[in-house]
Amino acid sequence: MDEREAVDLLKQGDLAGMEHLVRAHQVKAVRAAYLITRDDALAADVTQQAFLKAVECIAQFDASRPFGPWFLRIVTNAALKAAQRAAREVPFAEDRDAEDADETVQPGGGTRKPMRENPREAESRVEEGELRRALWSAMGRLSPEDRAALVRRYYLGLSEAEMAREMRAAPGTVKWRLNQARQRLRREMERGQ
Amino acid sequence: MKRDEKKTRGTRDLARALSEEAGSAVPDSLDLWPGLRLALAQRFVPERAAVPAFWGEFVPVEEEIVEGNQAWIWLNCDRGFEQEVVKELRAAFAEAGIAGQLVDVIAQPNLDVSSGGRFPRQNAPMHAFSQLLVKVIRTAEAAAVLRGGWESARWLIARTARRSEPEMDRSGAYPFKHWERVRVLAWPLEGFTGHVSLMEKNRAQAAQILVHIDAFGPMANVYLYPDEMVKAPEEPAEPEEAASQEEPAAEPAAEPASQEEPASQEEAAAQNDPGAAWVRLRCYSDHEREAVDALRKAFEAAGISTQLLNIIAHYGPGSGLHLERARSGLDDPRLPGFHGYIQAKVVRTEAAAAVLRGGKRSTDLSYTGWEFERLLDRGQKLGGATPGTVPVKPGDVVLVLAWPFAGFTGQVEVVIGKKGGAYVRIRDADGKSSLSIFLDFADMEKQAQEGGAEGATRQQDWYMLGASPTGYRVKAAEGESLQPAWYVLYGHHGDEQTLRDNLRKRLAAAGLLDRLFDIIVPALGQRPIALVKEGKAYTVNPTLFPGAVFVLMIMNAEAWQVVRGTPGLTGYVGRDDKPLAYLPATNPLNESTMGAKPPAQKGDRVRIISGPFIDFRGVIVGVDESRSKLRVMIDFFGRTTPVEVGYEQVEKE
Repeated sequence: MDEREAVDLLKQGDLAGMEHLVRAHQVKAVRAAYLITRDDALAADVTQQAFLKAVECIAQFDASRPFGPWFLRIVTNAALKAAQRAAREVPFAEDRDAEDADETVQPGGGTRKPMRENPREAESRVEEGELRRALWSAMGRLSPEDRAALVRRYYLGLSEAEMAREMRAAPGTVKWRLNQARQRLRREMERGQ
Repeated sequence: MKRDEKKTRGTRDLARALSEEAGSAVPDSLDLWPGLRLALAQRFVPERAAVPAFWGEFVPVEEEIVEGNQAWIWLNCDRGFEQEVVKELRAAFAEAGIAGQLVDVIAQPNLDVSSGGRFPRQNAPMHAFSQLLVKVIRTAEAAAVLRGGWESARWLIARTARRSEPEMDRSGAYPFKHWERVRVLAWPLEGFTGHVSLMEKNRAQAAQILVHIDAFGPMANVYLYPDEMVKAPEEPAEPEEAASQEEPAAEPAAEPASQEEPASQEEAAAQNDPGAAWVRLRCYSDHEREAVDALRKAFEAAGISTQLLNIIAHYGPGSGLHLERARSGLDDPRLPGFHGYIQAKVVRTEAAAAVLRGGKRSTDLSYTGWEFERLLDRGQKLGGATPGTVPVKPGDVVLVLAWPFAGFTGQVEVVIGKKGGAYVRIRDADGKSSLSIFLDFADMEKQAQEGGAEGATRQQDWYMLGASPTGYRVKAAEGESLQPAWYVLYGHHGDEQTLRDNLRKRLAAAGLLDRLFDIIVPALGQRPIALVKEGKAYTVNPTLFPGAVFVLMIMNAEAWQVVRGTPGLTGYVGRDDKPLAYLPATNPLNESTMGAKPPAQKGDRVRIISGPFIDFRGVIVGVDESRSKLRVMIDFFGRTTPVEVGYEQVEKE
């Protein structure tokens, strides 16, 4: 069964093709959601809900297009919402995490990386892994909207035009938004150093 | 150029870093499918055939509730007896030779101690039902076994079950009238007739209607969906009733052909046990077990234990009264006003009647027993008397015609036309003790009132608390009014409960508990408030009136002496060493208003002689006998306006 068949079945109300779609897209979807929410348990949750929503809304999906981008749009939107909600719900967690340890086990079993890097270690940071960590920690200090924009552009590899379509915004707006996000990320990384 | 290169490298780094980070957090082996499959199955089950419009046309029930040839039925059983009853149910099926037809039983013990005023006491009330969900093969034999529970009272058919309950349409007109005769279409009661007894419009999910099945005595109340029954014409009234009401038989005798079969079934069921009767007995709430034991012992002592066929402890008053009173701190269920009920099936013999008549609840709380309340055989007539045909009024002396009090005379206390009967106080020959029983109008015969009949009770000799007489009688000193009144006592703030308990103990010790009707410490809220102080958690029950305790009692000098000496009492509302009595609101059921005759009839011209409309003249357009009110059209500022006035406020012109 290929993706097309699975979608056709789904459009007829048959869930038989669902397994194929799930297995084909789940990892990428969870990863994208994780980059936005920064919580792997929440990301899995968001993705699962997104699959349910995809089944509900399959009628709106144009079967001539690939399923992946359409579905990932649902995922990123849901992840953004979840991240915004999480940001409202746990305002104190970040400080505590930074003080406590590198990683904190989350109730859902996931791990939360420290949001702010230990400044003493910053100087000795030369390796690639270190850069990754610096970047990750800087991303954590961005707003969920900025994170979502960066993930769409640089992780999912959408073009600015595609992003504009997805966000229902003018290309200029998308460009500006991405630029803002990048600048903020750079500032955060510099501050981290 | 250099800048562009740097930029590209930066974004490439960013993309790589994101992808590495995501890869490290979310492994490739991740699989959401098992969990998702379950969620999908729950949410996107194939649509069932659309449920028919709720109040719509009759849909054959078999199609709705039956899977293959099986049906699910809900049964009730006594709480705490689930295991036993399941065994008994299996045994009953086995005995009928159809053990295989009981496919499945699921017991749902009722663990709710908060609803309906149940107390979480050690001798847990038996009157809370647990539920059994049974799956049975739909055969006539299985139906008979299930219905047999109404006789044994071990399991009671409670309601039919469906795979999905139809949403209730609250907008539609109700399809049945109260006490309308219906014929049941649903297995296991198909063909039987019953009467619509209660329509619970407020049930959240689906509206099932409580139907009393005529053929099976007082226990046979079952919830049915509206499409599981059809209206059945009322049988023609019995000749003697028709004569007494001076009405021609409303229905022609001819019944539709379909009625023949159920009629024969009813007859067969009625002939099962012609000599037995269900009776309802009052007992102290939450002391149903003690009452049941007392009843058993009494029958044994009389050597007629075989005549006590069955006992079931029934719901208590069923209202929130218990809970409310428990919350207000009045948690002794043995005070007046707390009734539990047990129902017993006994053989109608004179010996059994004597035992039933002898039941007493003692007022000093030294012994808890039962009191006869009513015969339930006439449960079918619970529909009530036709308005305007109430044959007695409070104060009338009546001769009791029904077993077990046949031949006794009593005095009517409260007439409850809706229930088609009245509470009648029966007195011992020596006049020392009395008992209030409920009689159907058909079971009493009005006696000519001889001036202050010897056995009759004076109106003020009893006091009605709540909706039913308590069965308690207070000995009146000479010239003393036996009207209870509220008294306000003060104790230390926060110690109101202690004062309340002390007061009750003192009155009990002085033998005056029969004068005490109620003690209330009004709470500010319904629940205790949890507080933490210096790291310790504790709860408080804030009271509405700090320090105040409200007592409803019949006070006299002796009682006041006892009350005054209560430890913890710091003051009271009153003057000259005497407490101030606040009389409770007038009892709307008392004789003066119940029996009063309107001074004029509809259409008469009257003059209003008191109240805000004094000296207005008008025409009576309506008479409300239940409230003793007249509706009078008066000419008011040039317009005819209806006003409502009491009987005593008008004078016929």
